[in-house]
Amino acid sequence: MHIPDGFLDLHICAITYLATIIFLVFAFKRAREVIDEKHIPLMATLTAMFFAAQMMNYPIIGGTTAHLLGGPILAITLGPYAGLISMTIILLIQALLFGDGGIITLGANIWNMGIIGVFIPYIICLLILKIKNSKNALMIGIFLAAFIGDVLAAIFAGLELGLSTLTFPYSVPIAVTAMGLHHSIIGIGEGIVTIIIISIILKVRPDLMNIPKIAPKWMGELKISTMR
Amino acid sequence: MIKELLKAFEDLVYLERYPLLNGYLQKIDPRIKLFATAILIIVIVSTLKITPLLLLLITIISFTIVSKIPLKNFLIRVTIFIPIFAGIITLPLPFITPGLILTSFSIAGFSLNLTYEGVYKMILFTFRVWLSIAYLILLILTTKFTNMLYAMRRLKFPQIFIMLTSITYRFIFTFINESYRMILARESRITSKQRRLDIMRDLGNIIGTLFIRAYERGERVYFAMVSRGYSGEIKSINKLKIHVRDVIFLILTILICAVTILLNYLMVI
Repeated sequence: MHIPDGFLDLHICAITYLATIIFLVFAFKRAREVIDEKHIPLMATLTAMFFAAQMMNYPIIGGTTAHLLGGPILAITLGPYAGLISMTIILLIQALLFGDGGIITLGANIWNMGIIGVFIPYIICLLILKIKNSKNALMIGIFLAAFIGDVLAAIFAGLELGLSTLTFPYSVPIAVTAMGLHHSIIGIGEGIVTIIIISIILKVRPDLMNIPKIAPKWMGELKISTMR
Repeated sequence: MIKELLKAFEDLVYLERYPLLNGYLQKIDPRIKLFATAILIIVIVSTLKITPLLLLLITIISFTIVSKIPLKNFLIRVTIFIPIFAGIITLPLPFITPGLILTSFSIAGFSLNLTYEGVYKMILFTFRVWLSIAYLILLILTTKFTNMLYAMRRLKFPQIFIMLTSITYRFIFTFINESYRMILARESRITSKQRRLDIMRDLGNIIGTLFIRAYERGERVYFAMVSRGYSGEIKSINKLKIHVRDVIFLILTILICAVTILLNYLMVI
C-alpha cells in the first residue's frame, strides 16, 4: 500500500500533496482548539503503539500475510483529525527512517491511508450508529467501516498509479482492479481484528474511549464508551 | 508475526550505525540534504530516458563512497524488496507492448513477441524506481532522525507536529520491544498449528492490551515531562548553521540535475 518514489507522475504527487496539506491545516487548527498540552504525550505514545501494531503480520488466504493498515482503529479511538495526524507521523517515520514509501509520494500515501482510510471509516461508523445505537450495530459498523475504508484507500492508490501515464506502465482499470481485489481480502482481516481490539478495550477499560476525539465540528462525536 | 518485528530491530541497528560515521554527506546540513534528495528524486521521476539516469547512478555511487558507507551492503539493501517488486510487476511489459520484434517464440500454442520497446520500458521503470529508493536510503543512512526533525522544525513545520513526531519516534522502540515480548510469550504457549481466526483473535487481544498500556504510559510520560519543566513548548540547544560546504554540495546537486535534464533532451535513448 505504501507507494514508493518512482511509481507516480509528478503532477499526481503535486495534486495529492496539495489536497493532503489542506486537510492537515484544518486538522492542526482543530487539534489546537481541542487538545491541551496534556494530550500531546498521550497521542504520541498511542501513535508509537499503532506504529508497532502495523508491523505484526497475520496470515490471510493462501500463503500471503497482511498487516493492519490502522486507519479505522485510529479513527474510532482518536477521531478523524487526530487519526490523520497520527497516520501522517507514522508514514513520515516509515519513509524517513525505514525507507517504506517515498518523499515525493508521501502526499499520495497520506491521502490514501490517512484521509480516505481514516475519514471514510469514521463517517460510516457515525452513520450506522445513527440508524441504530446498540453494541451489535457498533460491531457491524466497525467491520463495514474497516472493510470499506481499506478497499477505498486501495482503489485510490490504484487510481493514482493508473493515472500516472508517464511513469506507471499499466492503465487505470488494471491498477484499480489489482489493488481493490487484493485489499478486499485484507479489508476483511482488518475488520475482524478492529472489532476484536475495540471489544477488548470496551471490556477492560471502557473509559479510554473518552479520549477527546478531534473531529470536524459538523461531523459530531462518536460516543461508544457506554456500550457494553 | 515475530519475524517482522525482529527485522525492524535489525534495521534499526543498521540505521543507527552509519549516520554517526565521519563521511562527506554526514557533515551536510540536514535541511540541505532533504531538499537535495527531493529535487534529485523529482529529476529522476521526470527523466524518461535511460542514459541520463546513468549519470545519476554514477553520482550516487560516488556519494556512497565518500560517505564511507559500504557499497556492497548499500546496493543489496536498495535492491531487495521494492525494485525487485517493480521488476516483477513489469515482467509482462516486453510481451504486451507493440513495437520492434526482437524474438518471438510460442509456449503452449500462444505466440509471444518480445519487443524492443517493451524491454526498454521495463528496464526504464525498474531503474527509475531503483534510483529513487537509492537516493532516499542514502539520505536515511547519512542523517540522524533527530536532526531530520530539527531540520523540519527550522522549515516551519507546525510545532505540535514536531513535538508529537519526536515523542513518537522515541517510543517506537519501546512499543516494538513490548509487542515482541507479548508475541514471544504467545508463541511459547502455542503447541499446535492454529486456525486463521485464532491468530486474528490473539493479535486483536495483543493490540487491545497494547493500546491500554500505551494510554497508561502516555499519562506517566506526561507527568514525567511536567516534573522536568515541560510547558507545551520545545526548546533545543541544537544549532544548525549553513556552512560553505553545504552551499558547495547544493550547487553540485543542482548542476548534476541540470546536466541530467539537458541529457534528457539531447539523448535519443
